[in-house]
Amino acid sequence: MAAGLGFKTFNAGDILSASDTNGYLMQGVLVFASAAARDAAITSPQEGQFAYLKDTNVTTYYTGSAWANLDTTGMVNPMTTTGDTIYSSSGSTPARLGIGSTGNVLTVSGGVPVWSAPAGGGGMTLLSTTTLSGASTTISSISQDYVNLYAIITNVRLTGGAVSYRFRCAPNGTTNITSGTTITAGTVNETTSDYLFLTTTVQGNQVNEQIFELANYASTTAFKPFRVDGLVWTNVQKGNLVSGAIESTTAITSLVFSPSTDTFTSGTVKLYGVK
Amino acid sequence: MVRIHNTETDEVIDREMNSVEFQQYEAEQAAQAVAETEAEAKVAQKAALLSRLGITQDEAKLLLS
Repeated sequence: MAAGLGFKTFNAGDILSASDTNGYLMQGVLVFASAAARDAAITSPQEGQFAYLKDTNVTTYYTGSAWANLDTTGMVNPMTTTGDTIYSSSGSTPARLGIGSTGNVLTVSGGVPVWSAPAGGGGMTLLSTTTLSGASTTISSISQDYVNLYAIITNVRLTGGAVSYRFRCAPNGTTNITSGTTITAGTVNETTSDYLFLTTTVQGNQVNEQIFELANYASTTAFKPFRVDGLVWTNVQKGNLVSGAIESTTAITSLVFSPSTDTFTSGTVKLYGVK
Repeated sequence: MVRIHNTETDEVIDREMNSVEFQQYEAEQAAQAVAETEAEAKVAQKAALLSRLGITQDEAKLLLS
């Protein structure tokens, strides 16, 4: 059979010859029951001839030297869902990477691309803003997802006015778990294992502004060093420095702030988690 | 009164002290009063000593420096 002659326009009155029929008209996809039936019918296949095999549902074409399956050339599309992408899972094997979740980034794991949440950077996250009030104010259920706590404590005053007091903190409501040295204006005042004292004796009618840093607060294996910086009023304004450690391996989940006497009339604690 | 601020739920509860808290509060008030009395006494003793020595506080600091 001499197929593969290309295209010819037949005009009215033309005589259709056997060679024209074989060469021009036998160029569609011929349908056979099987490859055997195809080979029996087409004894001299021509390059470019197509044959569909019903037993395997495969379209074949003649390369000029052999019949080849058209369906297996090229890539089988593995995608099924909007947002899918394709990658090579092994050598040249196409594989589907399903769409990730909102906010995910493309990264590599195990040698193949995967979607994952972006790595968290550092920085501070505001956990709570608390107004100090009463004989004590507890900040509870502190998130354990951070490394350090950073508290900005401002405008602390007492109801009784010019009362002498010490501003203090009980981590987890517990005293007797801290040790530290209070330093005010370069003078070592004391070493204490009691409350975590944020100040020495100060005046209740003057503002008290502190930064309180607590490291490793969520650790269940390590002690927690702390540092307090700020301004206090004793009889004059003084810089305030306190340092020490909470000598406990219990994670800190709450902070209880209180004056050693009287009650808070004002004060704000902004608590940040730091990674 | 004591305040409790739950940072997980952002709920703030103000309530009266229970008996244990009040007992501790009163004990601390008493301790504070004693500490203040002692501090005042110390100030008075220091002033009396300076007066006996006939020097000022600044002169005392200079001597001790």
